Amino acid sequence: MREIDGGRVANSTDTMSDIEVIETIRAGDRKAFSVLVRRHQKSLFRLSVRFIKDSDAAEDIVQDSFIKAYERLASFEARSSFRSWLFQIAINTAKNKLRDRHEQMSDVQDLPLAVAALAESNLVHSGIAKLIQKHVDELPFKQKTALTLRVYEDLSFKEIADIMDCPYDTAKANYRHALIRLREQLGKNSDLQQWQSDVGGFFMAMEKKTAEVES
Amino acid sequence: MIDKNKQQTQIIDYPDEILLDQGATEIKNLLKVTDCSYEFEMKEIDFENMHNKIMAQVEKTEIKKQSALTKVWSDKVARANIKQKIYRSSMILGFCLFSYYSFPKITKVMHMPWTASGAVLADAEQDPLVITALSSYRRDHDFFVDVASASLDHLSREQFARLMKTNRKTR
Repeated sequence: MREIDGGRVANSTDTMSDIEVIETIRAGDRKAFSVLVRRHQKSLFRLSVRFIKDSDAAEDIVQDSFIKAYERLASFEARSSFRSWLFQIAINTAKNKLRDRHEQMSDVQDLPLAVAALAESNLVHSGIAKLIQKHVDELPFKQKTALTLRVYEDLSFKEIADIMDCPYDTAKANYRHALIRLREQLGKNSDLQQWQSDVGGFFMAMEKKTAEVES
Repeated sequence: MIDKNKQQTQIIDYPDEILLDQGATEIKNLLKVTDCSYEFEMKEIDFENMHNKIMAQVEKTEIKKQSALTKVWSDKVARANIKQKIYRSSMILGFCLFSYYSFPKITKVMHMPWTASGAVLADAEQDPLVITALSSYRRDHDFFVDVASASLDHLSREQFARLMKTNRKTR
């Protein structure tokens, strides 16, 4: 055992795989669940926020998902990764929460973009981002799920199929339909077209930055 | 016990996944660049608090034990196969029942001319005169019309009038 930053004591379970930690928990060591929580809570929170758009509600989803996962640990049979299984629980929890709250889609209307305002690129970027996010939120739930998991979480279609509990081809089809629909919606939006033509250089620069960061 | 041999190894992206993505690169890049999730980011201390809340709840929670039936039913592969088997066997059973009940009726209707013809031929074999009578007819219709008219010849006047009266009523 050794002390690390923040006074948290590290132990041997920190280096174990998810499956090995689960076996330890099943053997009776409840505290080992802390390892799984620390490993996956940030990615789970990020995923929840993409669906629910509210940090407090996303926090509730993360907590509920971990508790449900703990209760059902006996039924986890490692057919998919623990992360995929946890994501599946979180997505179902988010779906139920959205249904309960009768969550409305983002009510950000098409933002008129004056050419003069283009000088404030951060503001424009924020407005365009919200506009695009609005179209993403309007997608059917399954298409939005496949798109979110593929684009933002960089999961393979096999993992997406495991999380969504559907065949591989269905996961791909949901993703493809989401992209087609988005392309149609964004193509109709004249403000976005105008923005792209006026500040096309901005978009290219952002792409370069992303590529640099990734390399 | 978890079978470690069943653990997922590194996921490989198949070529068709890459092909699908190539067509969607522009949209993907646009979505990544305009990602708004940073607005909801939490601080490290908030994650630590969330972790503590979860662990406090875990202390009060018990892992639910699986019953033998639940274990079988929760087997994803078995469940998928059972569903397919149920659908397939339902379709086959339905088809068999339909065939069983409808086939005799269909064959009965189709078999009637054969039955009738068979009875006539059986009579013809016993009585050679019937063969002579039958052979003069080109069609079954002519034979039956003559039989009907011959039977009317034996009717009395009252019987014939009654028959005509009945016929007019049915019209």
